[in-house]
Amino acid sequence: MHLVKEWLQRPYVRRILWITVAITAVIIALSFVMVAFMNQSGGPASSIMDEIEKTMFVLTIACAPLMAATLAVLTYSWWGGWGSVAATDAPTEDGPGIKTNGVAVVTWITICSLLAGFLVVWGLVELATITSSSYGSVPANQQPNSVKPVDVNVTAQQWLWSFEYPDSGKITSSVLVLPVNVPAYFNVTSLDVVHSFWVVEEGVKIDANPGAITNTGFTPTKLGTFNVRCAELCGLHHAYMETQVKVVTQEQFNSWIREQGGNKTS
Amino acid sequence: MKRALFAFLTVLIGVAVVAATALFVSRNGAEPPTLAATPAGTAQTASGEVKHATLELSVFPNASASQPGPDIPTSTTTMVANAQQWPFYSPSTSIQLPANALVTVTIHQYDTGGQIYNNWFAQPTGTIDNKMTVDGKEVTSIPPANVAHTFTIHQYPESNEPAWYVSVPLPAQADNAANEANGYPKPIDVTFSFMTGAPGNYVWNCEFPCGTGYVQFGGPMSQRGFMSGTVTVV
Repeated sequence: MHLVKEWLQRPYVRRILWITVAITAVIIALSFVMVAFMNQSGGPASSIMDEIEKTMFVLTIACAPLMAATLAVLTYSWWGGWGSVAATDAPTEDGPGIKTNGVAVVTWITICSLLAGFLVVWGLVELATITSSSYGSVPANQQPNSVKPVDVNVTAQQWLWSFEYPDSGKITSSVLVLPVNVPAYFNVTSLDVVHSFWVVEEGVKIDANPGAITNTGFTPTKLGTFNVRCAELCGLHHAYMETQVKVVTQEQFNSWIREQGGNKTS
Repeated sequence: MKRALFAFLTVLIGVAVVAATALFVSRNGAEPPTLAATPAGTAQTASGEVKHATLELSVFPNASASQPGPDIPTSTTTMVANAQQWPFYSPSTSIQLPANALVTVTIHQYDTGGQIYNNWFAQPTGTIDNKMTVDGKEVTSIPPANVAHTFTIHQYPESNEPAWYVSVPLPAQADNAANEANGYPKPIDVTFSFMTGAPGNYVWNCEFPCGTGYVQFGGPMSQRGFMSGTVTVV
């Protein structure tokens, strides 16, 4: 312990630590700005996106001191904290060999190991939570939910999305409409090249492959209009391959189904 | 001094390469001349009296002496020359429509076709009452196995412009349809109307796989000026 105390007494260590604290504060402040920027379009709109944002926020805060320490050493060096030698006074002989700094090495390895362990555990827990919320590959009719999900067949093709509601008279729409607080389950496929079904504010993204059906799902928790985009470069109008997801009340959803000619609602 | 000169020259060469690339892409990516809808007075709609405009387009299976092909800039002459057998919309794929107006479009269809990938595109969507007329007869869909092309408008990304979606299928000519004096069969005339909203920028493209390459979405389907273009609502 006295070695750590002695190390902390060194002027350069204290200066670098202060710079680390300052840069950490800036990074954490920026992480708030980043999350606010992400939510400009109305998200998070599902428990999945809540978890994703929480994970990004926690990982940013956890890693901030490490990044800050690295930048602090760099900044200290740029400012000439270690001193400098004029070109005219260049030494003619080698200086003493650099000795290892046991305290610094042990501290660095310990902190990094603890951080890595934390990130692994947090990541596994969040992955399990998100997979559970998006139903993984378990069919909708085998879900343990008491609420019957809305099944939607999502078809991607250059450069449009179409959404079929098989339980509502197989009506089809260019806009995804979902009732709030009701699980939605998607059967996703493509008719041509590989696309990616990305429901931005709901935090769900899955490949749309020709000749195969992939599955995902989420429960929208917020009323509003959000974005569906293609997240896989797919040709000339890839950048235009987007549409909207409208999250409405159950009553509005039922009305919409009837307006589209559907013969029953979920 | 020598180091500084080399550094300056390196940056200069980099700037020149970027500028040349931008110039090349700009010249070759240029759109055909804008085709504006023709004002046609006013029309009564469910939302009251609105401006009315008309637009006339044709779809040809390939360029010919009577139809020289898309009017795209001369810098792409080689590409166009190699593409004379591509189908194309005429007279332009850069379309301009009035905002908050009823627009009536007539498309003269000269091409053959086949089975569309997604049957949903065999029905008009986003038109008035989701209907269209084929040679004067009102329909709400056409056989999915007999589609030549579609005219499908969708919205522009990353914008606050209102979502807009209009899609109309165009029936195919019979494979043995006799050609007339202009080298093409008698056209199938498809007419439909839709309402435009607030000013905005959109794109349109054909959803029938009529191009070249993998799943027939290359060639004319991947080059503006042939089977895809822009819609500007002003």
